[in-house]
Amino acid sequence: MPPAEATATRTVERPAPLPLEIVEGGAALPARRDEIETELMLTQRADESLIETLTRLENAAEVFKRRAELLEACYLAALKRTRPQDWVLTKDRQGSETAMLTVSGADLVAEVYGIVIRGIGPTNEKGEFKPEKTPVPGLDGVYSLRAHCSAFSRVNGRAVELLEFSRRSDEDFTGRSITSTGKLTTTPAESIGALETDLRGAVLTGMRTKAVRVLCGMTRVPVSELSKAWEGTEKKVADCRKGHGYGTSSDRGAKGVADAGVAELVDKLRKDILAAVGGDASAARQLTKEITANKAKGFAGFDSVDRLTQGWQVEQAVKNLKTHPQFGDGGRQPGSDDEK
Amino acid sequence: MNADQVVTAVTTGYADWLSARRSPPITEPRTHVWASGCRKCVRAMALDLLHPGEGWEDVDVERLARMHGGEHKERAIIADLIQIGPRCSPPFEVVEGQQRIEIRDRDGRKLITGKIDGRLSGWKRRISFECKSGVSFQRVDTVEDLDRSPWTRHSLDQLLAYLYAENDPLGLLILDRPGVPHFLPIVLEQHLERAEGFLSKSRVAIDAATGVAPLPPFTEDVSECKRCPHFGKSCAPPLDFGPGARLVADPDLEEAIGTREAARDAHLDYERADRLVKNRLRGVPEAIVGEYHVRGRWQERKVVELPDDVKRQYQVVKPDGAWLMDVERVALTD
Repeated sequence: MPPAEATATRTVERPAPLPLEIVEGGAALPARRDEIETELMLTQRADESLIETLTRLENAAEVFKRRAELLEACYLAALKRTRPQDWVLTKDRQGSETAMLTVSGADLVAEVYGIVIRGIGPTNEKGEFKPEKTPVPGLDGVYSLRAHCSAFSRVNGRAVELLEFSRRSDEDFTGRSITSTGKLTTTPAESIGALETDLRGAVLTGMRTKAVRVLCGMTRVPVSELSKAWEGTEKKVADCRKGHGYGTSSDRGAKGVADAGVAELVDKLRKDILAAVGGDASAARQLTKEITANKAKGFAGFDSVDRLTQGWQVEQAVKNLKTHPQFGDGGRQPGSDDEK
Repeated sequence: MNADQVVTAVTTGYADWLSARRSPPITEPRTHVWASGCRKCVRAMALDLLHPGEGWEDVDVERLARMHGGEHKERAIIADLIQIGPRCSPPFEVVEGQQRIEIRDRDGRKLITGKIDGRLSGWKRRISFECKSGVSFQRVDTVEDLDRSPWTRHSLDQLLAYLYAENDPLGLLILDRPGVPHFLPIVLEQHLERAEGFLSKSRVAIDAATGVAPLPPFTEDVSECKRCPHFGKSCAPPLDFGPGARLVADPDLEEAIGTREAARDAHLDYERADRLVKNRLRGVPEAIVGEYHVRGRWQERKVVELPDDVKRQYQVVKPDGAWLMDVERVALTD
């Protein structure tokens, strides 16, 4: 049997189209000229389609099989390029786990699939990128920016037209926003919304990621496929970020991404707090909030030590507990009393 | 205060001082190009005029420190040149520091403006100079080197614009580096076409910024877009991630790759053993090693020995000089 690639590119001699005479206003041809032309165009398109071409070939089934195998290999190669941090896992009510590709992995996958994104709009009369701005009803000052694009893959031939994406100004995605006076801030309490240029950038990034996900079939990837692609590497599905279906954000934070050894430090801190407040649960909650708050950043603090996931957070909380005016030891260091 | 607290206090103080002395970013659109604003992408040049604030919304302390360092170096070099001038033979003077330069169109429209760092006056001529510092400039030896990095390319256009405006035939780029700065002469006549190219690019950018013409087309150099401050803000160019993986259904090629992968370990073993044997028995004409009889001889080889500086003259970097391949098996479905 000849190689599939050679067969697929063989030119097929097609029968010449039948001569068709169009008689203007003739009773024998009631259809109008544009309808006939459309019909002809559709016939030609169908005639030239891959499926039509392949069905005329003797070994069409083999070509289909090889093509499917190659696309499967391409899919796995693209998955293999990604890293655990490029995915967010979600779990539905039935407990089935799927993974969604995020922006950091989209570019890696796009290179394998030869993605082209164009027709990014809308643009203003000068040709500048100007996403459509729409106020969000019921929320004063909040708006959404919406953009669209077309995209296709050079490898699997998929295409998508007018893919839309929008983002709201009250979404927190860069960590910085603007105040009522238009100044940049990183303090949530002062924020009135996102900086519009940041939001535009976020719309473009989101749209790019969405296009890649749609074209490469990576919106809901079964976890088993990720595991298979990462077989023999150090990458593990367990290292992916957890999203919907894995408990509350604080649970995910504490259990999923905690620094090594943080759990022990958190336990010790919990005991210290309870000892300081004499076992009073509500006082312990209040004290936890006070020692984990960051006034400079407008953060009111955590109500449970379980939400501390990083070593430095626990370290800061311990320091704040020691210097707490009511429950702390005044920040005394061993031997500091000797100076008195 | 312990050592950590002292370090934190000083670092914070330094950062606050840098932030406080930062002048507010320019956000008002303008209708002329800065001499330092020549870019490969003319659309970006036009957007620089329409949206000068993009990319300057939030300048981090590191960037402020680098800019401060550049200003500091420039002042230090000029101060040194003032000292060196009278002692040089023949002597020279540093004159016309921070003199404003303007290039206008035939119809009087302002195209390019800038401030020259200074001129060396002596030798019966005036030589404009521009000081540049930073890591990117430390690797620059020739004019060609300037063009290799997007962070250094514009400095040549900047100095050429000054030379063009003042009809100076010669200029100097003074590049700071550890030790004596590097003085790179720039001859206007050799780069006249490039200087005129900057003018015509500026004209197109200004036309777009003033609404006379639409924005110029997107650049085809994607790497320019990746570092452009307007990307994703006022400019959304088409994104092309390349040709993608080529799907090849060739049983012969497939078999060859399979054979290559199967023999990889044996090949590595052979290479390792071959290196060991040749290292140990180099120069030994005949030896018996266990069951093996090994014979060796010297072979004549023609060698051209050149001094390093001569070799460097003939050294060419070819981007497609070698082809490296990684072959990895992708697990297929059952």
